[in-house]
Amino acid sequence: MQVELAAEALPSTAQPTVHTTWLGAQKTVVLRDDGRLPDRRAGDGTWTAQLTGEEVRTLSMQLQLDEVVLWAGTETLPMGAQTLRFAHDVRGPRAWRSAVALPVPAMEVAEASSVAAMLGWAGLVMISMMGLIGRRGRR
Amino acid sequence: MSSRSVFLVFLGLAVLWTWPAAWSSGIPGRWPDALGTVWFIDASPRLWPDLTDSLTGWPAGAHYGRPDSFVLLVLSTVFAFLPPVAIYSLVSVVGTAASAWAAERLAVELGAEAPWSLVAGVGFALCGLSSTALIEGYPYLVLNPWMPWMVVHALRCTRPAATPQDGVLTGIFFTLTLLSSAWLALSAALLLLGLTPLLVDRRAKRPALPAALAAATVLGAGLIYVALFVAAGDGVRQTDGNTAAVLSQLRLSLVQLAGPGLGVDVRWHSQTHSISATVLALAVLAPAVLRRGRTWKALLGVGLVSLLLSISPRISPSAFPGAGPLGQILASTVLRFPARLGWAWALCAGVVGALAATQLGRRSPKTARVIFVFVLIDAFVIMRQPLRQGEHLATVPSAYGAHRGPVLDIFPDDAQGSPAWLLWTTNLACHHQTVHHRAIAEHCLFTSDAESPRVLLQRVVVDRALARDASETMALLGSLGFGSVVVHLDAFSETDRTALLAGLTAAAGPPVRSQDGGEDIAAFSVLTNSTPPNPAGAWASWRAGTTGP
Repeated sequence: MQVELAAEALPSTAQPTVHTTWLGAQKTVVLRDDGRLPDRRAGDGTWTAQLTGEEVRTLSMQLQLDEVVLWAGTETLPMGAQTLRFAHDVRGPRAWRSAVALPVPAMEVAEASSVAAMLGWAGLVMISMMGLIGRRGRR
Repeated sequence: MSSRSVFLVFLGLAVLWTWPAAWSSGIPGRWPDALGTVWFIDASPRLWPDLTDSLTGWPAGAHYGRPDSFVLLVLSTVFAFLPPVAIYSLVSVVGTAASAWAAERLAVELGAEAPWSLVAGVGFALCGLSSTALIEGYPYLVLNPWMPWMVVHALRCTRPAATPQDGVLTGIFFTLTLLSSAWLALSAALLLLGLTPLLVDRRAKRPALPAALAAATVLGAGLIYVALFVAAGDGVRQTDGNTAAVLSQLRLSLVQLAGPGLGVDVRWHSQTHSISATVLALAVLAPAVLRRGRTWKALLGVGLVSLLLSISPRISPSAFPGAGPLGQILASTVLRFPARLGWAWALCAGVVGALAATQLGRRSPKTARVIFVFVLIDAFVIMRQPLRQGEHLATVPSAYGAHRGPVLDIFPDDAQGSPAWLLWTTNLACHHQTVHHRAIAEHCLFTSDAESPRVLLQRVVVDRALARDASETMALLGSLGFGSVVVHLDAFSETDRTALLAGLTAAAGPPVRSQDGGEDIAAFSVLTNSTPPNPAGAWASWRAGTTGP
């Protein structure tokens, strides 16, 4: 299982960690943004950690930034490889569970863009259908 | 294309759309109700004839007078020789294909031609509501060929060649829709209401008997259902009482129509009622293509009303404190999930869209093929099916096998009292019973914590164990007939987990631990010298003692 925290404004010395108990075993993993696996790109503001083990149904976990608890809760996990994504909200300070690993303002833009894309698709379809009807009319 | 070929096409699409249901190692579904549905399938054969179950709600037992789907109850009983998960998956795949095929048949009945008639099937069975039902774990909602067939026969009642059988079949298919789910029946009733002007048209030269028979059967079935629902008493699923502001809901509803948002599957629910943009465009532009005929206009009208109702805001049932039994039904159905009224839109728009596509296809078959591409993009890309689907483990922790007798499952209470957490723990405990087959204290179709012996006893056990004073509690559990206490350790905090294990070990001896089936479990034996004579009586006495003055 992968944990991703979107936090652009963190200093390089910051150390986000995830604490959990996985089938009875306590685990603490440091999230990194250094470009080494599982992290994709160094310094992109997405801090990543990987937890491995047998399949679990629920996972009580705590996401911390140094000593500050950003998020704590229980997640239910479907089977297979899962990614839990969080967005750091500096106003809190805390983190939000999110669908994409983006900082809170960018996440709002992403959500709006996704809706705009779907509406754009609907518009494209509507215009295409009108074109089909117009084609019929000309014939 | 022959009817059989059309069905095979839909079966193929259904396999893809519902994936991994056709080849699943787990239980298809992301959220807790999938587990509860598997329990219901497993328990169905033993719920007959009075819908009571002595293996849940131990020690008093439980009555399940208001199941979501009587059709699933019957199917699960008939196919009881299959594993519950197999029935669940079959209903998902075959149900989706059968619903699509029936909608296509309705479109053909109204004049659509293959392959354009397939638009109706895709628009109806591969819609946002269908996606929600599969991801949330209600596969019986996608097994709905009844509604299209109901409309087929209702429309036949409007023709000169109408027969009494058409009237009766209209009623029978309405009843099957009702028995599949009351939510589906509301959409079906809306459809029949919209077709009423055609059915009662005095200018039409046709026999009156079929329409009268249809009306009598539909009304009879509806009244009997309502009477049974009211007679079943309290115990419907609890609402969370959280009704967001009307404007906020309207905005959300409108956005959801376009497609599932990015965050739709993040936590606990995946509710979306997205509609196919292609079907919408074809339906909206149909008046420019389909010039004659009242039937498609009636269907389009019903569809639009259904669409408007489906995006109406959700109103808290508490807004109507004086509502009677009928009001209670409305409160727990229409007002709670208005989006589910959108099934009528999915069917009507799909059928009208297929009729429009047929016209476009006749004129320009090659160009009109783009309609299929668009429809499939809507279903698979915009809805993100089956990518959004998940799977639950179908295995159960082995520690359940360490003891005999009824089990008391122990989970932590959610600090915020979240209904979602209660739903998860309830459905998880119930699912596990499908494998260990021991009696449990859970009420499986309920989320009302006030009624579940499991929740009530769990609080006592946790309180006393944390206080290192659980001996009397274990004696109480012994008098109630429990054979073991199973603690689901993953969900407890480290501090509580340690204290709970120490407290229960002091009272009941060392537990049997297992770390398989996706959970860390500790099963404690409840030692009793003999079988308690009357666990149900002991439970009643204890309840009276805890709730009395």
